[in-house]
Amino acid sequence: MPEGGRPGVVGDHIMSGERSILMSVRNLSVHFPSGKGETVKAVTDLTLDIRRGEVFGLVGESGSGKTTLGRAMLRLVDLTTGSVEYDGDDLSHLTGKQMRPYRSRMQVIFQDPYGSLNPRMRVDAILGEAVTLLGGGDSLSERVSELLDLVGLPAASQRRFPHEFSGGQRQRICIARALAVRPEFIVADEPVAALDVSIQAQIINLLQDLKDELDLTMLFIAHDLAVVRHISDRIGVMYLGRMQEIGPADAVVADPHHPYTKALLSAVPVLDPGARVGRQILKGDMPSSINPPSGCVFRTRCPIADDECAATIPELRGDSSRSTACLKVT
Amino acid sequence: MIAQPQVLEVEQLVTVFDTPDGPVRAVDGFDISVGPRETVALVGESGSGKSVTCLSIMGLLPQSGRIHGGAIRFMGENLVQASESRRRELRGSSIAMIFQEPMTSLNPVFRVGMQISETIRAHLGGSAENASKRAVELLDLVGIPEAGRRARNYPHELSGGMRQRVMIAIALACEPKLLIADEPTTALDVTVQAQILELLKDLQSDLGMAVLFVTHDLGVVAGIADRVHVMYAGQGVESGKVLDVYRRPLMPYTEGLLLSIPQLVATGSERRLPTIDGQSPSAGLRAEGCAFLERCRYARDLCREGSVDLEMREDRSVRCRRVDDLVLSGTTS
Repeated sequence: MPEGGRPGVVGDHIMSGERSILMSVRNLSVHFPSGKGETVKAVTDLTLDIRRGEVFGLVGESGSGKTTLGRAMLRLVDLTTGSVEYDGDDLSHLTGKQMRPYRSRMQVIFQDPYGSLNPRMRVDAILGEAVTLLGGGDSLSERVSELLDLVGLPAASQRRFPHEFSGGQRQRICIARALAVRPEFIVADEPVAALDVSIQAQIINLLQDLKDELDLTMLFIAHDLAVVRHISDRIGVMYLGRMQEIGPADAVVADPHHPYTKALLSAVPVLDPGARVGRQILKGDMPSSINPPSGCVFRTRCPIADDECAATIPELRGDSSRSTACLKVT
Repeated sequence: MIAQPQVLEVEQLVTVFDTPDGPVRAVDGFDISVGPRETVALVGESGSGKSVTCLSIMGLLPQSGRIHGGAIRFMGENLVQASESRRRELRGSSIAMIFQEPMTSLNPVFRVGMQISETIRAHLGGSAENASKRAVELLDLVGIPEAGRRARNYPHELSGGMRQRVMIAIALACEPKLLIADEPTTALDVTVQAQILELLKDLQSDLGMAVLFVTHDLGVVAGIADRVHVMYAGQGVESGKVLDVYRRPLMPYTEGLLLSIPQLVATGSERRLPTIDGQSPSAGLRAEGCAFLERCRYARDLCREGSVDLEMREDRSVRCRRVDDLVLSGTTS
């Protein structure tokens, strides 16, 4: 495994065309106290690498731990066990102060562009604050205009307040704010979930353009498999805090290996009124992450689970391109 | 085609809201009908007027809103002229509605079984004992396991999918002829959404309800509806059988909606999604000509003048001046 390689540094060409690992998560668990003396196991024993320039799509239903994983990568939550390495540096035990140099290299875009902008600040102040807090050096007003241009907003937006914009435009402001410090790595947590269909496509295209233009690496979190398939190079499927399957986006969608991925794909509504038959519908709800099932966490809803699945925790097995955590998949 | 008696017929509905800037037409001359055992989808983006249409039908408009014109006929009876007490009688018994957010539609301090039996007693009378027995039956009907025990749960003890099932149980308590479902699965996870959609389909065929299904999700429409109406800026812009509309949309807005959704199965080497530029106009700020004009890539000078009428084409309708010279793409062949 090439460690800490920057583009152009020896080690980049170990596997032809593959770039160095930027974000490396090893055996990560994030557990929270629930307040009743119980423990919420949001993420458990999760390992994942994201390479430079890659868009890694993370799917899973609410409660699967995908947001917590994103936050752990940015060290916005404390890690219970395991490690998070960014560009070769171990972030796992850094203090808030020690994290500061990394804050400008890693940024986040949230789902709700209404809740994440200060309603009393004008756009130039929102963006200017981000530039001065972490970036510095630039001529402020020039940089603000540059950022607005980058996300496709008119320069006149500068003197306006967030409420004067539509949802899609507000998400553009949030994206501009994230880009203000010239980050390399972006966690986009459901960035289009709150937007109308016709606006979603605009924002997805914008993120793709920015990714190419600025050579960004991205963790793209969404519950919408079609959106994730469209934008991602690889997809990871989470269920109840554990990674169930990882693989190239098109391959996972075209040929899912894990029974949960199969069920998830089967549940996605398709735009073809003729395709109504033969859908597989999962029974029940996801169990609580306070008391996850023994063995395989998916076994209680799995159509092919047996006694073995209750006894053994399946590990993520496979090669670097495709892996599945299921005892029944060989 | 023999004219079927419709369960719901909305004709030229105009719903107006009073705002500080004067009255705004949130719904502006909208037609829709739902026949017995039929599922009709109403599709549109936020602000298109689809929820206001539902609230107008239910008689649940907020204080600032009022029906300004048109007719809403339920089993032939015009509800626009009906008294508030008649409206209340129908609401929850013959016409029921389920909403997007089951958590805010349920009362957090009452057990769910009681919330169902309360509905039954309010409309049908009878003893408390019979009503609670019926509540458990209904919870069972909507697929809640251990219904007897679950009836004693409070809403917060249930998952989102379970809560929506409880809402459906309440809606079905008096065996309505018309069920209005306003984005009932939007807040749910996709596997739970599939469960609820399947449940609604089964219940409809068992109970023979007419369903008006409101959603922004064209994939959900494809899975559940017989016919679809597309709404834009308070007006109907296209309607027809789901299969026909998806195969060959007649209105550029419908085409734009269908094409801008990422598909699960990659259709070739598409990298960029086709988009509809700009955003929906604010209600009440409509200029001359077609409401979709500014965002339409097929717009010509002829689209700028006057108001564009909804034209009937056999069993479809469309609001577009260029309908005869455009061949638009759909999602299925």
